[in-house]
Amino acid sequence: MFAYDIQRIEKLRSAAVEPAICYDAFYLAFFERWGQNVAIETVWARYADAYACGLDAVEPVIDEGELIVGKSIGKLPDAAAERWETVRRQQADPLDVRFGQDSHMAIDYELLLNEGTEGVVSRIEQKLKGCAGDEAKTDFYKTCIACLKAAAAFSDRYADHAEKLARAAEDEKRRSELKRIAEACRRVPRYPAGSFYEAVQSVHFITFCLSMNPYRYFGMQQFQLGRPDRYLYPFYRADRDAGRLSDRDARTLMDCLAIQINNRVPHGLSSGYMLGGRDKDGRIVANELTRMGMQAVDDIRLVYPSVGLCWTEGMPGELLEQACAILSHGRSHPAVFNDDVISAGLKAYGVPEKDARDYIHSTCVEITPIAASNVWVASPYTNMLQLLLDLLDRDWPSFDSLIQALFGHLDESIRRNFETQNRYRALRAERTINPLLSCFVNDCLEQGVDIEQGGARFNWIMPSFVGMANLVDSLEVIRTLIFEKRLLTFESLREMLKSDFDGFEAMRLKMLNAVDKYGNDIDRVDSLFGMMVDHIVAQCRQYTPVFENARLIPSVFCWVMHEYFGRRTGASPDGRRAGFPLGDGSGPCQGREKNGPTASILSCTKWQHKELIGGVALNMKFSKSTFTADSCAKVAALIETYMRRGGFEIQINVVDRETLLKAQAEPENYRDLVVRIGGYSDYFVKLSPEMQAEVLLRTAHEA
Amino acid sequence: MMKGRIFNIQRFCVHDGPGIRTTVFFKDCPLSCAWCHNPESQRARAEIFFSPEKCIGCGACVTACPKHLHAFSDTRHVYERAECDACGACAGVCPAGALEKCGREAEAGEILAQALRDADFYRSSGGGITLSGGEPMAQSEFALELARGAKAAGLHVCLETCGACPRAELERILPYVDLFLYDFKLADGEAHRCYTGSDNALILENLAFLSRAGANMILRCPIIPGVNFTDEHFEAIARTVRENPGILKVDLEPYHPLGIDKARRLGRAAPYDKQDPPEKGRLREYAKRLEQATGIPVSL
Repeated sequence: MFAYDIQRIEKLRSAAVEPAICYDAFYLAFFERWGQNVAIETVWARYADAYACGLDAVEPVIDEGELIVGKSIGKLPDAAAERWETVRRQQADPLDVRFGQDSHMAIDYELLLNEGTEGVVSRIEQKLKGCAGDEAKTDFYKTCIACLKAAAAFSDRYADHAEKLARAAEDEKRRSELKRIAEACRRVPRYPAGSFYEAVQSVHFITFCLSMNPYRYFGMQQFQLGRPDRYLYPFYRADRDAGRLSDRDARTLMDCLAIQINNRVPHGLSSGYMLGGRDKDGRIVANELTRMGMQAVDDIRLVYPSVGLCWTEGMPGELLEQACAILSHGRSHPAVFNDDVISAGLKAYGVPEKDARDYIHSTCVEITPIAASNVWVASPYTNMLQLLLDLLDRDWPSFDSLIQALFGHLDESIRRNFETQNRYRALRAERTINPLLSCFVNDCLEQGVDIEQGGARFNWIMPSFVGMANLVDSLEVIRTLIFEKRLLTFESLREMLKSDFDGFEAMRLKMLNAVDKYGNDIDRVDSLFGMMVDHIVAQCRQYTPVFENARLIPSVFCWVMHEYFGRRTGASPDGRRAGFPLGDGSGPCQGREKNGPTASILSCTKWQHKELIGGVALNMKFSKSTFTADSCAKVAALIETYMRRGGFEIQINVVDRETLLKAQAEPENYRDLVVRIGGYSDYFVKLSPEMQAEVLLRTAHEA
Repeated sequence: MMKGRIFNIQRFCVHDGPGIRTTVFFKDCPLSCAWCHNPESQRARAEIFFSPEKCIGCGACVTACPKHLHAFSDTRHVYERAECDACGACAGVCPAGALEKCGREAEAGEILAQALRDADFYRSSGGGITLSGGEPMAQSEFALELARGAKAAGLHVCLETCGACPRAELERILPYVDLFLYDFKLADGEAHRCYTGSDNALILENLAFLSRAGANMILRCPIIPGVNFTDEHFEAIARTVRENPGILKVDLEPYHPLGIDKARRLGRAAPYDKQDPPEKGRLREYAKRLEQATGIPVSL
């Protein structure tokens, strides 16, 4: 691997472990201005004015050693904080649109890099010429222009600040770095990027601007950086060939970009990028930036970026090797995604061939087409185990009758949830806009329609079904113990569940240990999972959400919902106690895997992943002793076999139990220990005690 | 088809030969090494693991045992092993896994069908099946049938053996073994008898025989503090490697104390009961020197 500026990166990464990210300065200024602008007639004009005001209130921050700049950290001073409290209640809360999803996408960075915000402004001005008389479009376009100009002006202020710091800088080297930062901030994002450095800065800066969304001020925006080894590569190549850029500098800049993600998105969420796979012409993407993008995970050792490496048949073995080497160091990324399965799935949902390889994992594992999506991922999460528990209040004459009832209950849940999300969509269309974002999501500018009003090309809704393994395990217990062996009745089961197995420990352990569990390569129980997936996929296909190209596409992953739902779910027939977390994704439940990772991979690939574009996460945990330099190649073989069998995504976490226990005992010494949860990562010491226990319990494959 | 006695079939083994493997653990062993980390493998007959900390006091075992060997004294579970013939009735009803039967009969066909389920993984990693235990050659007919069947099914076959068996049996199985994992515990015959119950003349002869016959071998060397963690022993390993060109690699197996707890759960005391593995730094030094002395890879 190429050299990099270790000293600088070490300093920057350690400052980014616990950044005090705060966008309140923007929101205070936006909403204060919004309140003052009651007289402005249209929402559009009012927004444009307030938006410029908002950005103008954000103080530029450039810390020692930074090369890529743009962040908003540090709480508001007391007086301002008080004002924000008041303004929030008076102006912001009434506009509250807490429902529905946001961000979870990657924008059109190619457009940004090739044309700059000014280039996009020119495009819009052309469009305006053809819009006379169409008030809605005119308003939209004018607001877009205003926001683009505001973003560029904000970058100017960063340039001013960098120049100021340069004048005061005592160190010669730092002075020239600051001057270069100033030059870059004057050029981008306003103009097309003229170098690799400018390209990285432009990408980061616009994403930083997008992170301030007035209508979603209560939540954090989670934008992904798309495919840097695609859109940054021409800039890298040109600079390298002309001798203007060293690999050392390139790697350092990629690390800086990765560090800034941590300064933009607080922990507990997810943000990153994807690498590898095939491009729109079907050519394998495997270049220096692919490797540097992966290496950043190991260089900076922070909770972000959430990196997905896209596997495709025929890709260079070194990429997977590099991934395994990084994982063997205890990093929780990269996760490996199946480019061949995912692109086939996207095509099945109507994405044209040339766009089907250009997708992003949106945060965790949810797949959305890059530069064209208004896709609501994880909308909503459904507690599959609860659906079964709802039906156990009565007796069932046969296993089949229970299954049919379950399907009916599930169908009803899907329908209700769909209607709710659809309603949210309509409400959002009425009450919100996001013009800056619309500039970079096709086909909003083409159509003259804001993303919130349906201007994007893909408007899918993607519900996720959590606790599938618990459901399957519970069904198998009912089938085996009630219907086949007649060791249990529904009546006695009800009694046990109601008392949380108090006084029934022997039976609970029997349910847990003596009945087959999903994830152990036992066809009979594994096929129940496939039965549920097939049903869900078929059901979802029947729905068409509002807006163009809208589909309902399912997922099987959980983020933190396995713990959230678990806490709220009573005891279950799989032997699970009340309040205990549900299984975390598409694999076996914690602690129930008895036949090793080959068995769980086989179980997991007996059903079709392709249609679950909403995302599938298979979480595997290995102890360090399994993951020696020798056995790295074997883990790579494990991953490849999973891919060839049609697996969608796999994420591997290498930790030892010893390290986790130490981290529990001395959290101050393990602040930066990152573990993988159900599709995303977080700092172990920040997890709730229940989550920590759950991580510990999750299968560690000792070999 | 004949039946063999095994005690485990473990999938995703990454330290028992190349690639991802399924390892079949045979019951019975002619040796009884003091540091054995699978004491449940040493005897031919089935045995019962008893883990009192898992016991929930349900009493199912009390009813199930035909010899009434389980009882509760106050809340303490008492298990009279002396008369136990490991029929397994108690293990069959224990919901908590406090009682487990170790050792069962299996046909070669059943074992192969199980192993073949991971064929995709063997293919992508250069893996296969490993016969281990215990000592597979203590059931050499069965080992032969299994190895032959595995080769016929296109699997790569590893045989882990201590080599304490008649040469003719090794000769017979040789055509069906791709790689031997051959144990080397102690060089001196007396010390060998003292710690394993048997001297090593036959073991060393068989090693030489296999080497001459062109077998591919990895020498497996348990390193036990206070027993063979010495300069002399490593010199002996180097000598053995030089004398047996069939040895392609040395695996040093640092002692770990997992066997002690297992022995306890079998109602036995472990003869070697130290807790500490060999010191890492010193072990790495030895490994490096061994690599230099022999010119073949040495792994820890």
